[in-house]
Amino acid sequence: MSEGVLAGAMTSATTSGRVAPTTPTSALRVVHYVNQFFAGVGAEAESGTAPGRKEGAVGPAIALQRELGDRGQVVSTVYCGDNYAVEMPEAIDRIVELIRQEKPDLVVAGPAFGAGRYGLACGQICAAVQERLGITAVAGMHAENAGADIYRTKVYIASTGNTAAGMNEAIRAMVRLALKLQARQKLGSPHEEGYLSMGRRVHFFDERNASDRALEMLLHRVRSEPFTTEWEVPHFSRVIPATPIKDLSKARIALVSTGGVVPQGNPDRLEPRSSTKWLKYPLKGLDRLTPEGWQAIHAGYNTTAVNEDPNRMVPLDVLRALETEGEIGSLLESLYTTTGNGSLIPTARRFAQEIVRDLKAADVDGIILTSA
Amino acid sequence: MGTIRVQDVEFGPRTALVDHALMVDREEIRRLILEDRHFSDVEVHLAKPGDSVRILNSLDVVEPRWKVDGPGGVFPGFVSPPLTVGDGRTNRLDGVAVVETGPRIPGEPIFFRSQVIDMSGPGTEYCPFGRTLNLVLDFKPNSEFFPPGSEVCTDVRFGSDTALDYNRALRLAGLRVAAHLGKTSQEVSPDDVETFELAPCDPSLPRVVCLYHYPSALSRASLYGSVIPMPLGTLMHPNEFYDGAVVGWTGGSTYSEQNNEVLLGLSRRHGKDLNFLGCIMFGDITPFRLQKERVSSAASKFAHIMGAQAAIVLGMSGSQHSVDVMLTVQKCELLGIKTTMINADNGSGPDDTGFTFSLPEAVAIVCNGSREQRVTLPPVRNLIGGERLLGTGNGENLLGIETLDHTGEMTIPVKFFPGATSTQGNGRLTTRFE
Repeated sequence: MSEGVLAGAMTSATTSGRVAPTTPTSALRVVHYVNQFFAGVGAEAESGTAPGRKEGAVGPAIALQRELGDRGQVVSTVYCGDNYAVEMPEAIDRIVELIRQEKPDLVVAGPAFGAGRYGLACGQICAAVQERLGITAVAGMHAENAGADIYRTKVYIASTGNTAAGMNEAIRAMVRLALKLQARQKLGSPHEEGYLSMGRRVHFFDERNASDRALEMLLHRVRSEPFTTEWEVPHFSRVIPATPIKDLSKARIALVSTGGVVPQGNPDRLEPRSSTKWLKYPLKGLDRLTPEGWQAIHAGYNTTAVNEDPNRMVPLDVLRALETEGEIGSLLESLYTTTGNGSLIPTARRFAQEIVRDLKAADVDGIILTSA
Repeated sequence: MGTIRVQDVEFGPRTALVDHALMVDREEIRRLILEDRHFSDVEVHLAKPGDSVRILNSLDVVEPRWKVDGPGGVFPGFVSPPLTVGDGRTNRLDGVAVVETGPRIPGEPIFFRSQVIDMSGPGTEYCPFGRTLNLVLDFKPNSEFFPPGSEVCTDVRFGSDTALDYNRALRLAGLRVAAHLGKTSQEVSPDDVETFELAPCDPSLPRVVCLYHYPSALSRASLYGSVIPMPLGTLMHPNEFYDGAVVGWTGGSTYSEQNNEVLLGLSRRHGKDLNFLGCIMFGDITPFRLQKERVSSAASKFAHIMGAQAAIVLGMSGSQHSVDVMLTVQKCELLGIKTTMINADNGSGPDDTGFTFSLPEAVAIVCNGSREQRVTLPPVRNLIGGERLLGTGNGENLLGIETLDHTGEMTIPVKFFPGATSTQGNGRLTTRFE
């Protein structure tokens, strides 16, 4: 965690001691997962710390215990370095095992606020705990945390602020949510209960027409009265752009496209919308794409022009010319192709991660990405 | 507006309205339609609520109306001259609808053709036309109008010239029939009369516009008889809608414009809760981002110049044109105009937000249903409008339905029901996201 996050954290999560468990036996056994920083192991430099545990409540778990009161007992604080958790393949297994050994009734992870790696870890751990151990698990993070994008549909995530200045509020929200879930109580809407929407749709016929409801909502707004939207727009995490290539003449460039360009006959059956896969085709020996050899199967645009000349969507002709002239170092001899046209964000994210892994293995420095 | 609540429709020796029962001379309707040689024939059916009937591939639905008094006539630009309407007295036959359907024609544009109207069963909860007394017109094209080559369609949006021409003729025929039925009310005393007038009112009431994103060039809907792009917006009085100045097409319907619940609601509240300034219709086909910026800037400017403090924003919730709508919402909010949108969910599955595009300024949204929600319909005895759903011209997968016997049980998405998730907020179907 960066320095800026420290400011709020210190006041509510003292590392001077632990809370000794003296609570009644009917209280829930709770394990709190935190990262290396909140466990008091160290800051960013220690983000490679392997999973471990500390007896009782440590760091924010102290605030968690306070909020739980005699309803729950934090029996252990399990931690892991942020980098270790998201990079090491065995990390989640090890963390889940540490948790399992405590025989908890409830697992709480975070709050991760805006910290992406921490949020990803919290989400993944809660999902694994639910699935493998059948234990109620609740995470806490900001709506724009990358972990929220991926795990909100699998795990209940309490919505928190972006920094640890909101620690007390976050802990309160997580406890409220966790206790309700653990007791199998019916939850209200995400807005009412303070959790991130899980993408579940509930269809019904309201008493009033949409038009009446819209007019009522508008009048509330005009009169500056409180109102509740029926449907919140999604939050998106921010992507930091890569640094520009300093010398293109030495760079290896690859062609990637979401315009649905495939070899004639679409041999691998790329879908015309919301593709579930990306494909890779050899460009070796080709100076341009020919209409005989290639076609566009994307159903979201008029493909006539691209079918006449596929280079309009995948500019192989131009890239070859640049390569010959020495403007670029070299062109990768593979085309990466897929169809967007209504991609789901998690799918698009997965494609990007997989394709980038491939590109990096081939020492590609930059890509030309064309879309429809 | 004079409303006559029609209780029944039957075929009979003449077309007349007697004691809340509409009698229809079937042969007269056929003759009226076949005056236009575009059609080789037309089947005229009655489909009533409770019938075991499934109407497929409807193109438009129209409510019979007639201008009894005042300038102009209903459906200006089609049935009447394109003079401004909305004054005087118009009668409507409440509970009756004219439904237009027919087969696919050569060179037909690639638009959304899969529509199902069930007259009984669960479908009637979703589709309002399962609850109206329907006169269904199944038009048969005259092949003379489709010489070899007319199937060639270089413009997938509009279709070939012959298809454009035919579809306009079909639309006109349906509107003529609706007007003809409406005319039976000429001498009849309506059950109730409501006055719609945007008179000067208390200046302290909040000033509200309806911002109606309506790329008619995309949907083939018309204003005063013209399919007309409105990139800079145009101002409409709500009464113009009630007189049929806006004629819908696939994806919408004339009926839902005639009975535009948002405009009716705003009209009825004028002078009481709010000051309704009017309806700004706007929109165009905007493949380029800068065009979307222009359209949304123009629409929000229009509202601003009119002095609007608030706007109900209606429009497409799917396709890249939802970007135009969201940009309009954003620009209104930045100008201090408070907005509320009616938006349909276009997604399915937990990872799909349902929004094609969204902006943080869209803080007040009413959801009028999920277009991908699945509904199972029971078997029916009869089909009208073909043997199977037509789908889109590029062979879009109809979810495997296309091979089934369409009289049997079928599971279809809500988007196949015309009027279920109407842009005008005319329904009670909704979705919550948890």
